[in-house]
Amino acid sequence: MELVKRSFIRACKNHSYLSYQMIDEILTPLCDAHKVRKPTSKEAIKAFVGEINDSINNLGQTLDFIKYNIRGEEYLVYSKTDATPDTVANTGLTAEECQYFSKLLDRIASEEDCRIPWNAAYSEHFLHTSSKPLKKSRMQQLLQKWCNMGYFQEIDESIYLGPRSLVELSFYLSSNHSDYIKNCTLCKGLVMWDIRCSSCQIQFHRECIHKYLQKRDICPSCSNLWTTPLRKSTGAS
Amino acid sequence: MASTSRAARSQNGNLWEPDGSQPITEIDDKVRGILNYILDHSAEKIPIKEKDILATVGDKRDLVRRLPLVGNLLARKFGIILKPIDASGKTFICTAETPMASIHELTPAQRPQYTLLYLILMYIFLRGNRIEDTKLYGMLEMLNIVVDEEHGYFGPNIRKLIEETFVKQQYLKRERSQLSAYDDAKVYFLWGLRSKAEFSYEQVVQFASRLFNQNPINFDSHLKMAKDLDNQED
Repeated sequence: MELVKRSFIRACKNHSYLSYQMIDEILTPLCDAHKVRKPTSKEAIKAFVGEINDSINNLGQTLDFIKYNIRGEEYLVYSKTDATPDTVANTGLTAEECQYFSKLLDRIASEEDCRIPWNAAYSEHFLHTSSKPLKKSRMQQLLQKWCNMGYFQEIDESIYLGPRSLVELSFYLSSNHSDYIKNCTLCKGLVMWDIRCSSCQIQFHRECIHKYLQKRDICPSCSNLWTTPLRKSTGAS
Repeated sequence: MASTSRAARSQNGNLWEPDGSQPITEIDDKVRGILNYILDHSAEKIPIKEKDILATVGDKRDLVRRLPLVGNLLARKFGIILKPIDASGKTFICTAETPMASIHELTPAQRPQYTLLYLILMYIFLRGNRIEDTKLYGMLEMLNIVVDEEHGYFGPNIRKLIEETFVKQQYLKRERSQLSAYDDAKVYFLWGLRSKAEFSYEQVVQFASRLFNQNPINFDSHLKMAKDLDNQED
């Protein structure tokens, strides 16, 4: 089982972020090859990941699940603990390219919905301060790479913050972009694109407010009656 | 923890470094720093030099004392083996302790490269573990893979992928051979150190026997030849 855990962690690091389907695609042949029972239910998978996490957290690495509402999916994200935009694993990139990452991140995070139109990612704004400006083709290549790594996501003509940014850079984002990026007051985790109170507009995680509303019927923030319907989200539970 | 009894000293005897300092056994911030540096750089698969890691630690002695623990942690927690690639032991690559169980462990972007590499490794293996570059490219052309043209599945820059990327990543080894000063130099490809660590000859035999619809036993002589060559090198 230890061999399976180690192979799984290497695969997670390679993929950066995985859906439950991908987890299953990896675990099925892996468990088969090493003749161990595959964790099948979501709870079993979460417990399995929890065990792996216990052994790597003190080494600056972590595996976390996050609900990525824009896609209606829950992802398992591999990331470094205590990372900032400068310390993410952008190895092999020039200083200008690393700067492009930081600037792009800041630009998207400063928008109310944490997204920008796709062509804004190549705007002159990112180029003029550098002595060695990047070619547009290189910027496209880099953006593709960062989308593959889960830092950003390109969905329907817009570039959003990706699941890995939300996990790995949550502290940086909520500290430096507190205008729009907030933490859910119920669980303290970063909350985005989720349910809002119709009175005060404060955002909560669907699961957190659902649990809270089983005992009370008011908003935890403004204490007015909670009226926003909690429709079941597609695929995320 | 330090004991002065003779038994303890002799037990620890083989851990003492030449300059007299004992290796670190506790995880501190510097250990984490070195580990993170190696993990961050392992994705590119390019060899890591000891002097590159030095920036995270500062002092060469601090680095040397922590490397054994870092190597140990990489192996025990991640199944990553830190392997020196030359006799000086100053340059390393990170390989996995076991081959992949399926192609799903790779991202969709990585799969075409892996498939191409597998084909090349198989061909080198079947041709006696060493093949001239022109012959390798000839074989690929028979599969409609022209190294100087863009391929629909394998992408552009296939020649660069084979001659530079795979060689830098230690998947392939490139050797020049010149019989005499009057002959043109020939270039040969062999399995690189990383391929020997991440693939097994038996895997390649399985692949070849399925591909050519033959009994794996037919490849026994190839297997023996490959293993004998490896033993000679060691």
